[in-house]
Amino acid sequence: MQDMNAMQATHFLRLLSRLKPLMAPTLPISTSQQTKFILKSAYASMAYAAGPRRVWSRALVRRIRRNRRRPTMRIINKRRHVVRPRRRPAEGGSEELRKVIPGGDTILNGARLVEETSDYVQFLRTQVIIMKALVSSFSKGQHG
Amino acid sequence: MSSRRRQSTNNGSRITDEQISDLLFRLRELLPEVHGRSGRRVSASKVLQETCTHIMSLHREVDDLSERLLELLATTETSSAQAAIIRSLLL
Repeated sequence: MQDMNAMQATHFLRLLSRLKPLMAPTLPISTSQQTKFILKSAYASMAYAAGPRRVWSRALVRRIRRNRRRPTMRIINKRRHVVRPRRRPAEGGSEELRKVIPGGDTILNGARLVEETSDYVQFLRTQVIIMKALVSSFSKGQHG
Repeated sequence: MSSRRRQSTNNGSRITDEQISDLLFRLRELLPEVHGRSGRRVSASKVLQETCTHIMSLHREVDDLSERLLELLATTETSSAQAAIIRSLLL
């Protein structure tokens, strides 16, 4: 578990390091766009650390990349289909949960939803810890 | 695998009580300890609700921390500070 945290932190720092050049006064990137960049980096590092084995991590990667490109086209049966997330009727009071987990609306199996949820929560909490550690380190750095 | 195959089994589409207690067990290690929860039978919807609330508050935290990080990044002097931070996070 410690290795996973370090990997997630590494991903996040690597992505964050791309921000500095974007903050140059010559580039017209707004503050809100910069914040969005950090936000996307946060979710991206969660997804990269988790790997492609999870529905939520794949959905996050798709969501992040969707902002730049057209919807992913997949060749199915030699015809091109634009793949959209499939809407399914909600089961057993888990609608809210499915909305909150990335890709949750494509998870049909209750057991799988439970697995994905606890996995997602773990990575989310780790991300929060990483970011809090960064914030406090930067804050300390300023005073000494 | 054909994308048109319907989910024929329905043994998984409802969340069963056993799955709820499984989720509860796993999340109990992660969620803040809730008063009066331990040992008592909790309704499925309650657990789902608590989990949703927790996830949403985590999302908000990530939002807030992103803003704070931006403020700090904009004002902090770079290389030595960053090197120290990287070191402390990876050790």
